[in-house]
Amino acid sequence: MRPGAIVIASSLLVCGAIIGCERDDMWEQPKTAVLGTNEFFDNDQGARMPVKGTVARGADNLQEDDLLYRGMENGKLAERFPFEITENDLNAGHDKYDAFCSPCHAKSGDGMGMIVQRGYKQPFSFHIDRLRNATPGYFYSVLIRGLRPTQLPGVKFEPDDDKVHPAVAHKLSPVERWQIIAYIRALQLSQNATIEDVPMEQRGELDKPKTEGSNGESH
Amino acid sequence: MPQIFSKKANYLARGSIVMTGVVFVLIVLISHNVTAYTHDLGVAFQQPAPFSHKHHVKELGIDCRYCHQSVEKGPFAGLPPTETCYTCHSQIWTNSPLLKVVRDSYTTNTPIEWNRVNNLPDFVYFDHSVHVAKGVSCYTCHGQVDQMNLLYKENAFEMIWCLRCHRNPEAQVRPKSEIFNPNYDYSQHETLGKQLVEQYGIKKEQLTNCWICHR
Ligand code: HEC
Ligand code: HEC
Ligand code: HEC
Ligand code: HEC
Ligand code: HEC
Ligand code: HEC
Repeated sequence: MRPGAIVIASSLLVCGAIIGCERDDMWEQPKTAVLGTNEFFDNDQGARMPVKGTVARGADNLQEDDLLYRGMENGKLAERFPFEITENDLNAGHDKYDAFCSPCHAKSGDGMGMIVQRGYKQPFSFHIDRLRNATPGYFYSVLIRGLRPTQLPGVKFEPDDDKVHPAVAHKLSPVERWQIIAYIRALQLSQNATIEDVPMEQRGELDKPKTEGSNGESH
Repeated sequence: MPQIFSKKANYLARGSIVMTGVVFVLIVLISHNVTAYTHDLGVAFQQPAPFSHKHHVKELGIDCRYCHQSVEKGPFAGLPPTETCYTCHSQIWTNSPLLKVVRDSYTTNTPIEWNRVNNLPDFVYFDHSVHVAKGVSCYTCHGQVDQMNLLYKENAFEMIWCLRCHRNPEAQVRPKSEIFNPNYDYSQHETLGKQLVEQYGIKKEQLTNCWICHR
């Protein structure tokens, strides 16, 4: 064989090997991926809209538990939480509050979140008297029905006060919503705390500078 | 006695030396640079609206879950529906031409078609929630998303890349509270990693089984 031929032959072999690696059908299977397209339908949208009037299985408004799912008890806004709030609930609520509420309501709850600073409508501070006295059921109701819901039985508000809250509730499960509300309660207490609320033996801690690095801490 | 090697042998010998070099260079290229090239690593993806993660995540401080809320709950992180953009952009930058796509999508009730950045082959099974629950950070897999204007791929998600962690999760898993921390410090991770693997109950011995990812 001539040297040129050898070079050419081996190059072909290498090229062939590379081309042979091309993707085949198993990479893109003829199934509809989540959020993917499907040419079978008019608008190529893989995810279908439910037929009008469809009732979602297990939807919140089908559940019997009025307290947990709708924040109501005996036809009135609930005055208590549907479950006992533990430290775990508070921690989860803290985490979820920071993620889903703080852009607008601010981490402190004063209503001056980053988005509000950029021009979004400013909500009332959670630390005004009206909201400190509001029931847990009121907070829950704001999330799922909107502000000062006139249509609620047994609740009196001025008619023109009926407003929708920005859409966040659909991102949270009922339990998560209650955990957030519990955390807001904790925020309200903390912002209105006096030195009397701090146990005697811990008051000294308040004057110490904050220590850095709480890395190992887990929830 | 006739010669064992004919004259041609010289050519053969020289040819194979050259070819060894060529093949070697090709292997190096294929396994390194070409990976980056064929997988578009680091190339900003054009999107219908110039959505910036840097702006929304770093500068405005919005949590990943505000837009990708199913990331903790299911296999898919999900992409935000137009309604999520519109809650804010019905009041902020309402006239910006950059947001025309968002407004049109909202008024005509047609979803925005984002171009997928990461896409595993269909024969690979992946689940976000298990990784997030066991302390694997978004930033470990997707890179410094909080620094990206237009999003790009940081990792090619090849099998060897997944396996590198599945063989040795100690090096990467973090405490739950650090999952959304873009600047996590790994310097004191040696003992903590081992503890966490135990604490999370990660079944290391089965993590490299084929059926974990191909089912
Ligand atoms: C996109 C911004 C935004 C986000 C996110 C947001 N809110 Fe609000 N919220 C508002 C605004 C604006 C108002 C005031 C609306 C009005 O007065 O029309 C409000 C009002 C409220 C009120 C009623 C206060 C009152 O004056 O009676 C409650 C309670 C509330 N929000 C709770 C929450 C909780 C809990 C979350 C997180 C799960 C949350 N919000 C997330 C913007 C937001
Ligand atoms: C304000 C909403 C918003 C927030 C907050 C947000 N994202 Fe996104 N994300 C999007 C949108 C819209 C897209 C699709 C457009 C694109 O790819 O840039 C996207 C796409 C992505 C993708 C690529 C998806 C694909 O096609 O493969 C990744 C990865 C991602 N986001 C990660 C993150 C991480 C990590 C965070 C938190 C640090 C985050 N996102 C926060 C809206 C958001
Ligand atoms: C929590 C509120 C919020 C959400 C949700 C949000 N944005 Fe924004 N976005 C902002 C703010 C605030 C600004 C402007 C910040 C500034 O003033 O610099 C902005 C700026 C922008 C800009 C730049 C506009 C310009 O003219 O410079 C684009 C584009 C944009 N957002 C797209 C989106 C898209 C697409 C989504 C949905 C995936 C989205 N945003 C979701 C708050 C939000
Ligand atoms: C173990 C690695 C890993 C981690 C950790 C991870 N992702 Fe992903 N992500 C992927 C892979 C792989 C894909 C591509 C999935 C596919 O193509 O099916 C993806 C896809 C996505 C997408 C596109 C939509 C989807 O669900 O396919 C988004 C958005 C996203 N990731 C956001 C996030 C966020 C936010 C976090 C952190 C909470 C995160 N990811 C953590 C590996 C990871
Ligand atoms: C940085 C580390 C890391 C990377 C990278 C990573 N994983 Fe994982 N993966 C884990 C950990 C930790 C678990 C949890 C194992 C357990 O709970 O026993 C896991 C679990 C899984 C599971 C679920 C196993 C089960 O028992 O259901 C799948 C599937 C999976 N990974 C696929 C992938 C794929 C595909 C990739 C590459 C795209 C990938 N992983 C990349 C760390 C990682
Ligand atoms: C941690 C997850 C994971 C495990 C475990 C895993 N794979 Fe994979 N595998 C992948 C991913 C991701 C790809 C896609 C690679 C790519 O996109 O280039 C892949 C691709 C493949 C391919 C196709 C390669 C190609 O280029 O066409 C084969 C064959 C394969 N895997 C076999 C196996 C076998 C056999 C095992 C068990 C020994 C195994 N895999 C275990 C994640 C995994």
